[in-house]
Amino acid sequence: MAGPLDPFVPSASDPWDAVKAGHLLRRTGFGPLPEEVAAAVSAGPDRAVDALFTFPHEPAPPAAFEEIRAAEDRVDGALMDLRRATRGRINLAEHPEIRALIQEADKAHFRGILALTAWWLDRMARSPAPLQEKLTLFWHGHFTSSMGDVHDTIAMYRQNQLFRRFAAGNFTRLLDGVARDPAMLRYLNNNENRKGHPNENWARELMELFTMGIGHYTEADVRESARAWTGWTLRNGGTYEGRRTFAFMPQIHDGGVKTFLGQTGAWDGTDIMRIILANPATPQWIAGKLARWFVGPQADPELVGSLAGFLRVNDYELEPVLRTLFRSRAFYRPEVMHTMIKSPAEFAVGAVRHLGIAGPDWIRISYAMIAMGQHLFFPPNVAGWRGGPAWMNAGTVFARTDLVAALASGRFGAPDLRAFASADAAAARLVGPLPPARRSALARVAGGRTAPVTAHLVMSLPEYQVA
Amino acid sequence: MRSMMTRREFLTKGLTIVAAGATAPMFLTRTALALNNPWDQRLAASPPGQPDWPTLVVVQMAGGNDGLNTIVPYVHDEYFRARPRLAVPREKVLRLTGEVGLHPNLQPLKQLYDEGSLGVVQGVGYPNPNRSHFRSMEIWQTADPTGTGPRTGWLGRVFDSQCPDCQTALGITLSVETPLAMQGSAGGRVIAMQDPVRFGFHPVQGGGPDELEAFRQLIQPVPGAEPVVDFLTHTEMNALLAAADMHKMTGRLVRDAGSGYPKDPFAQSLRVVAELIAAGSPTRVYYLSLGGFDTHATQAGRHERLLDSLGQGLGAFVKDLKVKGLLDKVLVMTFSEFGRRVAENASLGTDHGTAAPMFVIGGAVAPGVHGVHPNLTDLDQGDLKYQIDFRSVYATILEQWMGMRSDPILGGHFAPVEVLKPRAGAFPSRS
Repeated sequence: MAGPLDPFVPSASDPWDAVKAGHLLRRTGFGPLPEEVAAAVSAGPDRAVDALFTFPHEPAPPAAFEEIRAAEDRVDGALMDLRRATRGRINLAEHPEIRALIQEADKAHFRGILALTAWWLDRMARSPAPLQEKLTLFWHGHFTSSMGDVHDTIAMYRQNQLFRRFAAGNFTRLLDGVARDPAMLRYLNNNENRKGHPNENWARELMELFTMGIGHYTEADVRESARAWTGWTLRNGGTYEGRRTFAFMPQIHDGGVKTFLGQTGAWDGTDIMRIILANPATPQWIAGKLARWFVGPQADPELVGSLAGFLRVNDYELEPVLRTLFRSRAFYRPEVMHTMIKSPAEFAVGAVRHLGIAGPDWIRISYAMIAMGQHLFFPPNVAGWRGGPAWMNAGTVFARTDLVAALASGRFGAPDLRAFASADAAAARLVGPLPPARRSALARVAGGRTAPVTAHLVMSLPEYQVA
Repeated sequence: MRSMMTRREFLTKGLTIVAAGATAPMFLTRTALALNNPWDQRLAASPPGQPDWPTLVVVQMAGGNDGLNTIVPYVHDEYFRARPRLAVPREKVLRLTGEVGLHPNLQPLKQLYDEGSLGVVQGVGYPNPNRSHFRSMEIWQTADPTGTGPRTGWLGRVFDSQCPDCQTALGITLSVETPLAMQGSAGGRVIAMQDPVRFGFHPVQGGGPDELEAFRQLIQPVPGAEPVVDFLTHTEMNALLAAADMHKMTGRLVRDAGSGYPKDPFAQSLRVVAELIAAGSPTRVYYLSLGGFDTHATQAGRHERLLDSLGQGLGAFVKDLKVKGLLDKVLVMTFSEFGRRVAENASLGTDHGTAAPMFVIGGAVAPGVHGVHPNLTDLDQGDLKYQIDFRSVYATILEQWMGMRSDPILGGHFAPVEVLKPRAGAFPSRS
């Protein structure tokens, strides 16, 4: 029986060509180059999809972290000395020297988060496995945490590495990692969830946004789940590393009986995750989000249902599900192509690649991305970025055209503009099919202009904004 | 040197394309209609410095503001019992009535209250409250708790009903994203921007001003485009139109850098709003968001800083409007998606709750504390029961301030609340 996930089989009338390979690389990466598309065409669909999943070993962290650790250690050292000397409570108002050290540490974190952002954007642009970074970005927008609340660059980096490690791994293990992740514990305050008067923040968003979606649980389930999660926290005091280590503290855990999603027992967080993962709403929710991320607005309920079923029978292993999706006929339907509005990350990283920028100034590029609506490591709220048409309005249109102008004129690194001698050729290289009227408008207005102007005009086209 | 085309020129050139073929895209047909729409003409032709219609400024307090620590029911012992560590001490409350008062960090609002330009509506909410940020925010923004109506915003429907063919920026949001509240059935009437001077298409270095004209021609709607490309085409074109409008106005814009606004982004956005209103902007609705109110843990310092921002920003804004002689033309309304749980939790914070107060500020406001404070002992799962439906507040603003029937916008009749002075607004008959 034909299903939405049946594989695409090339034929003489429907070959594996640059249209399909380009679609695959756009959706799984950040602005592929024509040479990369050509390589994927000659590799054939099986090997092209295989190549996506060859993930490199963990990359080395940005160098800026040493500075953060040193600054944090200075704060810890000063506090410890003071505690020893005063044998009691410390009133920071009386210790400007310690406040200055804290301020220095804050500044180190601020420089660190910029360095981390630049580091990640560079990986998006240059990683041999762009899909790993695209999935890392997906999980960052799914299991959101914001530096604005976490205030810790190294915790944000570790969360980012967790997403990278399990990018196409097992969702069960990823969820378990997130539940113990120091950045998440701080972001949704579960580090302060203790018996008596539990804090519901994590318990609620876990179901509403991370696993099941609204409508599959009651307010009572939220409250009972919050009780189960009491005591999942961070270690108390100690060193910088210590305070950023998960700990289960039985003395603040509510060991009583809870009724959650109809099941009664002395549940703790592990049980809650087990019950949630067994609920059919969960694979459905995750499949829906993955489908919207990779297939776009054309992902129909039938496709989502099939993906959800696949996710269940594969025990939440993501890679086989994604492989099947990228090999499916449904993925290569013409009506799916060129329908997704590029996120600012896709747009900015893609533009840098297309313009061949040498040594891009990623920090200033990341500022431009903020104006486009995507501040990496600072998602707007716990639901992450909405995406789709929400990316585009008058303000963000000009943020995009401004970034291209800066890149094309060499303000953020030296461009290689050889491909922009002619607007027609550049559009054919980098933009999807243009309607005839647009093609003739481009020929009319963009002829005989300098390469930077040509690049600016081509990359400001509505058709360049979609993947 | 910029050569921004005027809106009229843009429209006229657009019309030549309409005349050229029977396949005129929807957008241009609408633009042609707009040329003959008196409302749009009036907006486009408004004299500088004299907005002749009432302006609404909506302030969204995102995350769920703790209403009980904003308008504090300081006479009730239940409040202090439920919040042994988070309650605002009785002696610090800025008393408004014998029952409630403002958080001490809202001193600027206390001053507005004393001057007669601040109204408080107590216990605002809706039936069957939803405690999800996103669902509840959607309810406030669509004014549709059932979720069965059209997915448009209440302000978007105002634009739809008042000026279906307008292309002028009827709304400006000082944020990166257009809020659902302002989304109507047609796009292009709301601008999202933060800096009216910088806003626009800038040619590449050395590209020359005619690059703008090239760009304008490139983004004309074309037949045969995919729906998403059509949407993007219109978005880019509307952006150019908006920039042309904005550019005309920025000539009159007096940058008001030193007039006592705090440096934080919220206050600076309010400064931009005041500058635009003073420059005679045709925009009728401004939307700002102040985020961070989701105070599940260690609430005190954070909530205090946020209220400080809110109070200082609004205080400076009103002072500025007063100096500019515009306070009677402007109404400010604040809201949040929900209040917070009556009892504090064990992490010195509060969880998602229900009803909360709203502020209404302006020269037309009937000063005072309106409505009844929710009962602190008669709770629903630990949460307050709402006293006034938020749609009643919207209805009041629509009818008495914007001068329009509220039923079609809100999908039903909601009795107004007496927060505005009688016959304050008379929008349709004013000019």
